[in-house]
Amino acid sequence: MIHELDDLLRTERLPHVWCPGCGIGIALSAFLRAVKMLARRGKIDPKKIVFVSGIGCTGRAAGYVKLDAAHTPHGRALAYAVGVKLANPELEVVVFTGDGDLVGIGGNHFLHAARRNFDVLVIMVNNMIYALTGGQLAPTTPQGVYTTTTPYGNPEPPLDAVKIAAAAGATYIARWPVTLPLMLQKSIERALLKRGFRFIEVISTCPEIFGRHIGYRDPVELLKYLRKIVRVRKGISPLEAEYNWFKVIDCGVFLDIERPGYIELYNKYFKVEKK
Amino acid sequence: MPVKRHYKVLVIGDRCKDCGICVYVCPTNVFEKSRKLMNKKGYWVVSPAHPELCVGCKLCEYMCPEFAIVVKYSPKPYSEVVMLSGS
Amino acid sequence: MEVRFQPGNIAVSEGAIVAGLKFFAGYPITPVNEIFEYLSQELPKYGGIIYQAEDEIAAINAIIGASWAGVKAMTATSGPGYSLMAEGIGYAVMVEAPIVIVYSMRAGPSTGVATGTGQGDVVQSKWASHGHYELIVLAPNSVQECFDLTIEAFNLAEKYRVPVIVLIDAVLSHMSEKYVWKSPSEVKLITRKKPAVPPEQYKPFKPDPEDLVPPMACYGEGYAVLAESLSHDERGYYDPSKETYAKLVERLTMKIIKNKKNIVMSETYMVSDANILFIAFGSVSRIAHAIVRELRSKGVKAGLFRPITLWPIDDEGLRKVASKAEKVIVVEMNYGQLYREIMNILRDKNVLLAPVISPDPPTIDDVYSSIGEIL
Repeated sequence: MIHELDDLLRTERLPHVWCPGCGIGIALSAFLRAVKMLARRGKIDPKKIVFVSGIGCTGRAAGYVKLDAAHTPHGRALAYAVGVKLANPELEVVVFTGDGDLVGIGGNHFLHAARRNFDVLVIMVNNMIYALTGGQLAPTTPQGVYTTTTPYGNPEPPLDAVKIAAAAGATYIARWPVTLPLMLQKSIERALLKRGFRFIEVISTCPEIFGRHIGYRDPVELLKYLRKIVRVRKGISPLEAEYNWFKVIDCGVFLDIERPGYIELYNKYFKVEKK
Repeated sequence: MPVKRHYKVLVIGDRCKDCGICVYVCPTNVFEKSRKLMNKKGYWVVSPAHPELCVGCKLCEYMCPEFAIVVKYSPKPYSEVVMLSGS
Repeated sequence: MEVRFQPGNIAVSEGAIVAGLKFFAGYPITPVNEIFEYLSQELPKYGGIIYQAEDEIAAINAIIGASWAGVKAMTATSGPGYSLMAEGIGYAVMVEAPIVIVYSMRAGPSTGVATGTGQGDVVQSKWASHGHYELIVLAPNSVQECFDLTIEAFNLAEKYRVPVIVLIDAVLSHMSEKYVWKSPSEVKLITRKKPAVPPEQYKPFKPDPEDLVPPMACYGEGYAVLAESLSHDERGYYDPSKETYAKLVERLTMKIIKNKKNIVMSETYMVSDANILFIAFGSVSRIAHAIVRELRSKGVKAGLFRPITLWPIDDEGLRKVASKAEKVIVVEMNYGQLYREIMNILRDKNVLLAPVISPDPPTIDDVYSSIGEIL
């Protein structure tokens, strides 16, 4: 074991399949470091974590972590995670998936899990494109951008998942770019120890597909651009956070409150005499 | 009296994809893109050329998407490119 | 053991509770709402969890997750809901999750007659998902069988790590009959095989050679298992190579085909000298039963073969029974879904179809008018 995260990775499968400079690797690294940190302090048992990812570039993450995991059908990571948690509430369920998977095809599950304040940590790696299939439009793609299915420019306004999560009822909402790996790690550490629906959006870089579409092919150039547009805010509400790839993307912890999670509510209402 | 600390910078060569992020984020320019060593996947492995300049911030370790860099305390500055599968 | 008088939906629910159901995820759909409602009330008393999902897609994926987390899980739906679950069923087959789906057919296609009955989903019950795979479909025809076969469904699902469908229809769901309820200690219950080796040596998709079924380590047991939907090797790692893919699809198929003798079930009535053989399943089989009796009283040598497992069907039993028949008449409430399978199995026989197309529970007259010309 050379790298300190090697015991949480299926090292026989490295190097992984993601492109050079891909932000997913940075996000996954932050997540695993958070798990390691908490495990060292005895706050979490990695054997009780279930790592669920969907279909897409980010979805491949489930195949690289040495944890109980699932690589679910497209958009259904959260639906699957809900079943796992309800069947065994002792498990700590984490959904690590992409923007299209979570708020595109999986939008309905996202909405209702947030509404229920379901006890799950959702990390959405947002690269603003459907990268694995070659660069089609995503719900989070900025307006005007070239994608393979909007070759004349994207007419659609993008979706800001942070606002949806807030409106639906999440109790921890944060957004961090891959250019701030330590902030992301700390945020995940905090979120892992909370209950309820915790949502962390990671603004990621996709130099090979999205970067190439907007003219930033080189991983470092794309990171530099991301650094320019990120603005870290403290104490603003999710609805005030701006999300505009061509102007500014507000990052930080937007919401951190305590409300009973679904498991607690379920146990409160379904209190029956056991036969 | 502040103690001058030294670090060892290890690069797991098989995992490197020559993306250049470590070269960019390092505040003291420890890394250099290099054409000395190519790994099995066909990438030129980055060279941790100046470990004596390392201040142990670990930004390279945190920002490397490939889990390919390890920075640790060391009695003397030291760097190595580790090839797990032989070069 | 006690005698009860309850509708099919309740018998199914009781069968599930007796079998050890611990997680039910559902979505309201006629005609299975009573299953969901009954379990919402009863399942928590047995320590189980009940969950109303936001749609059927969420329901099927939730029960697969629950199954991998170590519990017996079930959902219930009808035609439109099952169509939505198609992708999820494929996922359950691929990751070999033991789940039970209660499928009560109603009049289709599309919304059809929501409160009507039907048998138009014979093919969908097996082949809804994409790709080639095998799963098990059981077709009860009485409330007693609703109870017994639901327990059997859980046993088969756990034994073969495959989705098992309990295929009933709106008539069976809502009709009330006497049946014998048995307690868990009075029935045989099977639970999934657990690994015999420690985590370092365990491979989640390495089958036991005798039955081609891998022992199943579940979440939270320290085995770091991966439920991989992509084509995978024995470790569960993605591998698109020809050898791995062929081996995987072959094993998923042979898992059921090789064990067919232990899975198939069928029932016969007056077939020893029958020269007109009726084939029917589910509630229509009861009418076919009555018609056979009537024809016999008129001197016609009629008999009935009732498949209890629709998929895989007892083809060997069928061939034996049909050997002396001159005419084979398949009676079903569609234009020929079971008929095509029977035609294939009895290629050298005169196989005819008597379709009964109606959203109402078919009557003997309905069936008679359909078979009238061919008889």
